[in-house]
Amino acid sequence: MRETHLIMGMPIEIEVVGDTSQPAIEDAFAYLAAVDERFSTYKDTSEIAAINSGSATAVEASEEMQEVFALAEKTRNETRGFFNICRPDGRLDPSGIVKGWAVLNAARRIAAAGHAHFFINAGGDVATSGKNARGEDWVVGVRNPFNPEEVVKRICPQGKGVATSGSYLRGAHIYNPHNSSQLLDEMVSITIIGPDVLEADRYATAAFAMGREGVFFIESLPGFEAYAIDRRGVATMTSGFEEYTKTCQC
Amino acid sequence: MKKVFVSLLLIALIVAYVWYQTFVVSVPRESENAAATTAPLVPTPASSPVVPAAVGRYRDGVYVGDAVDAFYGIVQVQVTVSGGALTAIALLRVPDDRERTIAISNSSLPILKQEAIKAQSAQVDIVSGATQTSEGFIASLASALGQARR
Repeated sequence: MRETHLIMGMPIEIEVVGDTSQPAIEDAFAYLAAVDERFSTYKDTSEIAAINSGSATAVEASEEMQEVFALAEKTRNETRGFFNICRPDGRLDPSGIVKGWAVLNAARRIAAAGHAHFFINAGGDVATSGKNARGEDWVVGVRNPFNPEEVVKRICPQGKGVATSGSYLRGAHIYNPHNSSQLLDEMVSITIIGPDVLEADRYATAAFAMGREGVFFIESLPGFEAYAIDRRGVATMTSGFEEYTKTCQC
Repeated sequence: MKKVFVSLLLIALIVAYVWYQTFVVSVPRESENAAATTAPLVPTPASSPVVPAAVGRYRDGVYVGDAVDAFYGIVQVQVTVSGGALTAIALLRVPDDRERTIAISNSSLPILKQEAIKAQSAQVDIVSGATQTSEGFIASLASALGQARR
């Protein structure tokens, strides 16, 4: 059973293997929609909008909001400030971390409902568990940044999280917090494999903001791999990346 | 009439954007500090201008890039273009000719494998790519056209 909903301004796809999974899928989508209601900077009624407009304070924020702020702060420290939810205009935009966090939580809900074989893909942030409907490893394709119809790499994440950050379709939605006028057009996308989808997502955002340095930053992190594509169509990969392209039983 | 004009303008913009993505995006552009920080890992663009603006594609051939002083050694690459596409990159010179240099280049910036991307079989369960939204597309279009005007 596979379903796609449009939440957080992007298609979110969930498949749970087996035909008794409808409640688990519906629960996961309802959870993701609730997260969107709270964290969307595009919705005037969201908690983050209230904080940004000054009608609510960050100190009195909900538990979820506090958790996301804490995660954002942790990521900022771990990435030498390259991940930062403070926009140049002083507003807070936690969307760079909310997606991965929400997908991880949704995956935990599906697992808690007793399902071992499923995936969630929220705009390129992918959590997988178990095997696909054919009993094989899940295969994640890295989209060609120059042709969305094409896949340029096949990854078997073996339960690890996968996330892609890039500028090719959203414009420069990620910028260098240390120099907000710098255009990050040298690199067009970076795909990260990490311990889980949240870890992959937060490091994907930070590594992309680092430009050419990003893939070397990931190389220095144990438990993470990266595949970075530049504007000439040349990919640079971390030394352990190919382990995830060779082990596919497919 | 105004609607027709706006529609035509939008179509023209999209065509220009697609043209830009197809023909201009792959043009190598030298980053000012590339030599200092990333040159050994990032093939430098060939020394001759490989893309005549009017044609917009790479010309077939083998191009040797400038030898670039990467602070701890000289880096030089060679690229092969066939069928208008980048098909191979060879590292002609890398800073590993002295023991001291090897130690520095290994500890500070590891040599990572590179490849020209190419389409794979579409047999995948899931696709990971950057987020796409319509508002983002328009922003991207505007920024791309801004660069194309230069």
